[in-house]
Amino acid sequence: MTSETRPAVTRFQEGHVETAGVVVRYLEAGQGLPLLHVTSAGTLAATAAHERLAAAFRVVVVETPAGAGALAALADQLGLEAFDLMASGDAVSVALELALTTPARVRAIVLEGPLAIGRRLQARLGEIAPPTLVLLGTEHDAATATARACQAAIRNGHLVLLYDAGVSPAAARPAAFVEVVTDFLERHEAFVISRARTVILP
Amino acid sequence: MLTSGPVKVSFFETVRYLPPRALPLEWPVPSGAYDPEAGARAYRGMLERLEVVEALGFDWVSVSEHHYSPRILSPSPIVSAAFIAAHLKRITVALLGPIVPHSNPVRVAEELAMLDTMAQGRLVVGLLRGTANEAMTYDLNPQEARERTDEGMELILRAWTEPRPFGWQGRHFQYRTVSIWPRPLQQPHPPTYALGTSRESCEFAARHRLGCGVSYGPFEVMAKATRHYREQCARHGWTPGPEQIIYRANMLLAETDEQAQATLARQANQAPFTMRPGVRDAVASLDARNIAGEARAAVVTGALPTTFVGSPDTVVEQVRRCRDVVGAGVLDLSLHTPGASDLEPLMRSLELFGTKVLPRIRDL
Repeated sequence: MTSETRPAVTRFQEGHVETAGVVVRYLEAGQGLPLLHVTSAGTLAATAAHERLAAAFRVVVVETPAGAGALAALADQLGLEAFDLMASGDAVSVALELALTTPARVRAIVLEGPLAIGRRLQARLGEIAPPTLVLLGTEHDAATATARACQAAIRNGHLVLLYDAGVSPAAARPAAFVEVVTDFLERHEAFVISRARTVILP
Repeated sequence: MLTSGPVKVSFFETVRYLPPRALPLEWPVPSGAYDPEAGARAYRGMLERLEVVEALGFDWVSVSEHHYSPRILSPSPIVSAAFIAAHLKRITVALLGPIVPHSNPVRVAEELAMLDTMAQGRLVVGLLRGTANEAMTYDLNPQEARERTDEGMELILRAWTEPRPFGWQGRHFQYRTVSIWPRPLQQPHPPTYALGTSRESCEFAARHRLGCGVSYGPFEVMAKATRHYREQCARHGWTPGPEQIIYRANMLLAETDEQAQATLARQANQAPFTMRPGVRDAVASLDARNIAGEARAAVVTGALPTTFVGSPDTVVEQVRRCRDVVGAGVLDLSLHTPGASDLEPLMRSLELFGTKVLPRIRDL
């Protein structure tokens, strides 16, 4: 297995906001365009992938709140007028709800190993307007059908398979995960055009 | 007994190139020593031979990938397979290359899908890492060969089966858009084997419900790999059929055991791909190989074993023992005659095999 060079550790600050009587905890680090990452319940932690992303983005990591309204309130209170939105696992539903209710604020979407999208939401995937990247670990069989469904239904949807990764591509291969996420958030659908240089000895 | 029922037989076509002059023995063989007319004769002879092979009732003809040498004149097995499939009408073409780690896996998936479709589904595919010398063909780092093989094989399977465009974020391969046309005629893909004795190859085959292919070694040694393969298949909840294990081997067939043994005794102990010692040793130190997890030498330094030797009666019993010990339901045979300066002995062996052996091993 190829080792990955780790960047300098970025210190994430923990904070919380209250919305409709509910406390929403979050972690934050980095400068730049805001990237709001909604994680599954009970998984609020700054990972190696977050540290890498914080080198290019203002990263806000939040556990799945009760609903899209709470997520929007968090964005309001943190002053995130427009942002990129990332969601993992079973947290993708609330993120997609947010994209449906406030499409103008969401620049682009990243869905990591999407799971558990209900029928009602599935029926509305065609209304998702922002460019959307669906990331699926090649070992994550349980998410395959949902990942394919998201790519097929979302008008500007793209599927990328992350080799040798399971439930969490970001945890399994953080450098590979961040490379494709960063490229997509920067260039959206134009990320399909290679910028790799192949000159060996100029 | 591990299996019973019909044994399928494949003829391993190695494109016999008969050099007008003696060639240097080392690999790579100087390209300037190639004789174009001899090459044209080799490919014409291949087709004539394969028409006989088909008429004798062989199930498959197999081709493989080797470079920079006249020993097996097939650097692009896909070209060979397409040429054969276009000329023969019934026989299945087993493409037991291509060398995955130095190939573009998406291109391989595309070409194999084309070939399967053009050949009306008469295609069998084996994916492999390649012999140690082949790493130098296209400047592949031997230490990366195993990982590139595993990743490349997985990408080929995905390219055949993913229904919509996808990107691939691998370790060794990266594509932002893959969406091949045509897809294979045989769905979801042609019968596919991961070839090799290594633990990694067996486990890959088991995980992806592919066949397994081993080659040349003694039955008991190859059985270690096929046993490991079957154990891994069980771990993944399935049982491979006999047809999912290929054993490639040299066969030396003669009218009598004595004749066969005498011919074998004339065989020079010449490695198939002889590298200069400094290169051979350096490659061997970088290229880790194993049989079901037990380390083995990466570089073959002598002649490949001939595990079927004798008269038709003797060979039939050896085939029975091979099936029982290795569990192979497909034999991929290279019929060779050491010391022969023309192809007549090969054609006699073919005829002998087709008339005296093949009918008797159909239902051992």
